[in-house]
Amino acid sequence: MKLNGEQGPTVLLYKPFIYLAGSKALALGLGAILLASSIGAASNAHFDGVLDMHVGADLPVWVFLSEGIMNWLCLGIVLLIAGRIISRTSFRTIDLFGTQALARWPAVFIALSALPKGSQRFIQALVDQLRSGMSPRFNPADAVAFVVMIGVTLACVIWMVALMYQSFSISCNVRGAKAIITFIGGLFVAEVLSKIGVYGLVFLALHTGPNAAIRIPGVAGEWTVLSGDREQWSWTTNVIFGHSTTGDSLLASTKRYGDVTIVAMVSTTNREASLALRLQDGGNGYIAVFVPDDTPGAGGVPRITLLKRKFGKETELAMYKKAGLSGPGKPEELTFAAKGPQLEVRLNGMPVLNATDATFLSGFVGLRVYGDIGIPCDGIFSNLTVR
Amino acid sequence: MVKRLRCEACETEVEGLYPLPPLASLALDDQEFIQEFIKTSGSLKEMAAILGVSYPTVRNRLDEIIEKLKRSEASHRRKP
Repeated sequence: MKLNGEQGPTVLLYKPFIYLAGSKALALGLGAILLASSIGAASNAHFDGVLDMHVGADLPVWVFLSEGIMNWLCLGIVLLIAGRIISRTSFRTIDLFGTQALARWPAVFIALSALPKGSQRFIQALVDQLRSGMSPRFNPADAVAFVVMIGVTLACVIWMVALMYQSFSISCNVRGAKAIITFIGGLFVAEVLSKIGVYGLVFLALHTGPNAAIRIPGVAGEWTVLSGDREQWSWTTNVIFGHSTTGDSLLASTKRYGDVTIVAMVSTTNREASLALRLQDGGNGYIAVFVPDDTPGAGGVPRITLLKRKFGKETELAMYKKAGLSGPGKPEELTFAAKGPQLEVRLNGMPVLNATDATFLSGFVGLRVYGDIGIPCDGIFSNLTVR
Repeated sequence: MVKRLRCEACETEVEGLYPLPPLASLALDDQEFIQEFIKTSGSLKEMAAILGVSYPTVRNRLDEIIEKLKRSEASHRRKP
């Protein structure tokens, strides 16, 4: 007995729902959604809409997972209502939701294509260079990663839409122009709903929980902890305290800056109180490390070091050493400025370090403490300004 | 339409224009489907398992056959 004229491997790619629906499709589809979201979380690839993928904020994994589920539910619910209205037959809800979940499986390839950091570097470099008026220069490998990501994303989105339509058509037994028009309308409504839902999620993630943005009295803007724990930072009006015995802890702005100057009164009794700018994440950016004299961390070498951190590896760009450089707990005005590729560090208004580096042309500004059990770090930052 | 009917016992033949019952006017594939449907006591789930296809595929095929039967019945009613 022949049930349909279409068979073969292409049918499995284009119309798998002829063979698979219901709870099996639902289980496989949910697995694919969770897999795509988990891979997305590793590369900050957000599925921020039924048909969208954007590389964006580093948020908790639950946000990525919720985005995937929300996109599936939004389209599922809208098509269920539409199907109940236009279909002349009764159909099972689980078939529509199961096949809609499975229709999202090409998202796994989209998430994988966003994994190479090259594509993200390419986008960031393009934005930075256009903003700064510099002539575009790219790493060819980054450009290739970007082109691959765009190509894979485009192809997979088209494939996904075709699967979503097939899911709707087969599950609700609707065909022809009426089905296509209803599907396109439903897709549009679901896209709007999912966008509203996803932005609600992101807002929730940014304003509640451990990754919530921090507002510090007397300091402009919102801040977040890029590396380390939120508990390592405390504040009173206009004064911020950082403490670490577990390595690196970075308190960073949620706003990105291109050319920027960050100024603060800094002091420490034991290790360092450092300023950072053009941070991309916890592992990339520039740091001006302030180590005063007579502290356990100085080891007899009081200094200010200008570091570049790339993929977590630190390179010294410049160092200023001076015997008697400040003292334990004595506040000094530290200024860290960046203009184009020029970086400058000033101590009490006097330039002490400069370097030229164009690796990062924009990013977040921040405060850093670094300590361990042997030599903990307590940094105090006051009168912080960013301009 | 059937034009001639023959009794194999008495070998009597009658000629005329005899309409087929709607089920017999379906394609062979459709008839096999209905046969299977009856054998599974009308369980679409069981049919899907036997045919190796999904539930909605079976459901949609049944809907198609129902449509054909309705059309066939309607055309029978229209004819004198």
